[in-house]
Amino acid sequence: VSRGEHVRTDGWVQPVAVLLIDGACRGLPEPERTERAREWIAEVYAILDDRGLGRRRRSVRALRFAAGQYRTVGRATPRSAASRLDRSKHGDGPVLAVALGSTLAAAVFGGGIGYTTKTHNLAIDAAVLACTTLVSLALLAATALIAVRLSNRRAGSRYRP
Amino acid sequence: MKLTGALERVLRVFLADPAADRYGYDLMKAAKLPSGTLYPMLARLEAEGLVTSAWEEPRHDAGGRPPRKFYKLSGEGVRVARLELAGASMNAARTAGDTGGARRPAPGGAR
Repeated sequence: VSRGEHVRTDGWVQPVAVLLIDGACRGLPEPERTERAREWIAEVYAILDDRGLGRRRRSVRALRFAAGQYRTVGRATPRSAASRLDRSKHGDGPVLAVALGSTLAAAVFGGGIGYTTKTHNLAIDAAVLACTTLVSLALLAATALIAVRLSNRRAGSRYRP
Repeated sequence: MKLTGALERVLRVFLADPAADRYGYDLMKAAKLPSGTLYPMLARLEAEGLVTSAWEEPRHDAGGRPPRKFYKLSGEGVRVARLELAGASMNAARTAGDTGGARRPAPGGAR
């Protein structure tokens, strides 16, 4: 197996693994983040270059290694998850988004329930409840997405190898 | 240093050739440990001064592969690792002896 071969055959594995490592390293403070990302990306290359393994096993192992770094970071920095939600570090945006979204979802759902108690038609009640539930769930999902994006944006610049 | 089974395996791999530079994937394979166990352990050992790390020199024939980070036991690390493993072996032998003695029926004991 030449060095060039894994680049052709496992071409998509390497960027995906780098992306996973990049994401995992975001939980680390800056000086360590860059160093760890460099180290683990180099390990991905080493795994993809492991001549003792078949192509598929190399790919699986590289992806498993990259995904496993989320656990490594979690173990190395037990407070990293909490620090992502640390308001002093990331501002109030994510918290406010969650609060606002939850309130809106609850208001929509509550309105639906209130409406159905006034009607005496089972079909209308069911339809209104289904609609309000769907709208509430959509609101909650959008809120979670906004909160995650706000949190990520404030988590600092991402490491680009 | 608390000698766990995982740590014992890593130390044994290092002591198999204390002068050899080992990189993470190599250690993972040799010690049969997942990265989530190995890297925090290496970080701890490094913080305690028992392991040293260094970046591989960039090579022209590496085919674009980035330099890897190598780990090695420090002089103190080799000494401590040998002591810990010797202690663990003695404890294991003692425990095996105790267990064997307890299982052995007493000579002439009543049924």
